[in-house]
Amino acid sequence: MKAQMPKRRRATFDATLVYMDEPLVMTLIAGKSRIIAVAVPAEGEGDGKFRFYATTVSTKDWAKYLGESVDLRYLFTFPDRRNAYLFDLNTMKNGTVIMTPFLDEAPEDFLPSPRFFASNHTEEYAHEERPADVARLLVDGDWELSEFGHFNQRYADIYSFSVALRNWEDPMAPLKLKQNLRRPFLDRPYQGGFSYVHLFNDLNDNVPINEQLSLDKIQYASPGYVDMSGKSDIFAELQEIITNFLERRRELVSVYNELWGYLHKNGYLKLSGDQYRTGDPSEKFILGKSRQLHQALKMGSFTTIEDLTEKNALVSAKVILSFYRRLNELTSFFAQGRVSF
Amino acid sequence: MYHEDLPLSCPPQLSKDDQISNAYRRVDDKVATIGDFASQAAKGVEPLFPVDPCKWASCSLFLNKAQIVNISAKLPKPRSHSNYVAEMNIPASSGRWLAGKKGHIDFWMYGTFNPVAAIVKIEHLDDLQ
Repeated sequence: MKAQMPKRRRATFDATLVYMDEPLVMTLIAGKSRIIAVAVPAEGEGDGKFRFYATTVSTKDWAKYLGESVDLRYLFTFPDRRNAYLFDLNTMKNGTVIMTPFLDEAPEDFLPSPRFFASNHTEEYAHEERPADVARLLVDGDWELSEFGHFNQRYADIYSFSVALRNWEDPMAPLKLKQNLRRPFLDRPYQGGFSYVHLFNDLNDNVPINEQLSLDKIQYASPGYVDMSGKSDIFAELQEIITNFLERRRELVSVYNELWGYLHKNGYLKLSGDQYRTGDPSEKFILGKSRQLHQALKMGSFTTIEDLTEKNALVSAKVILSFYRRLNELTSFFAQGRVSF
Repeated sequence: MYHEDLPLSCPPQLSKDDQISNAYRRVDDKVATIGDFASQAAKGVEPLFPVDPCKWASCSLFLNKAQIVNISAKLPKPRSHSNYVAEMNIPASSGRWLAGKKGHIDFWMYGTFNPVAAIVKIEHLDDLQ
């Protein structure tokens, strides 16, 4: 089958982002696609053209750019699925312009240099901003670099899981967000470790910008601190979950072992979620122990987990067990005295 | 009264005549000329796209040095011809200006103002990154 070539495309002006004597970076809309465009040098002296090199940008990358997680060059170079165009701003009529596909590799002359972030915009552009609440964690003792990364990852896992549950329970949350939250619970087989890694990665990817967790400041010393930016109510919830885990660890280990041992002994750990049927003889035991572990972990409402897994007892159990393992790893840093609130 | 012919109702009423300490302007060479401060309108560039004609007749200044350095050195079009940044102290009675919320200033110079004389120093972009 012949590959379809990108066509000329009409785009409508949305906003100028950078202006210095003339527009230098702007954003447009083409159908459902977000476009970002940078002014590029003229081909010849006084050709009367205002040439812009443009590319489509995914919603996720657009949010990352505005949130300064990626620079402008990234949008023009890294994403695999994107279409590039050229247009002359002087041909714009009533706010619309026809863009011509640019199929060659972008010449360096057209690309922004690395490290041009949205903070350099000269014009305001309304968008969701990251939360400004800060939680400080005190760090002490000796750390290997990989351990520090591991600690941050586990903290982010528990944070994004808590945000996901709250958003699922929020009647005002957009339908698309809820679909994105539910998908990872249903799409994975949950037969091995990668399903859980993907689950937590997916949940992290679906944290709305205005609730995102980010590293604000680190003072690496002994003692030092880590400042995280995020939502204060989620920080408070995490502190409660972690403190509870440390206080009730003996009881939690026992329930975890009972549930994990049962699944292991009866071959359910290797059974994929979609192979497990409602009414299975194991269902009552699995649900009972899952509910007990879930309650002891202070994970919120068990109904929420059941909703997200479409009442699949095996998947619910495996998700709760994976949450336990991440929390166990996270709290170990607190138990060792290397992190405290 | 103004250095350039301006459109009607330009500068806008919200603009003010006041001093600007530490304003930054990109210039083409280590010795600036009055031409470095000309607006696009004054250069005879005709925009066919929708742009505020008053803004088109202004001279862009910045309050944040890092911002103008990043724009001048990292965006393809200015990077191709602007290599220097001038730091200026602009006294009152030099013109009217309007500051945006993100560090950019539109400046409309009076005919009596010599912007080259207001330059404190000029630095190469390579020395500023």
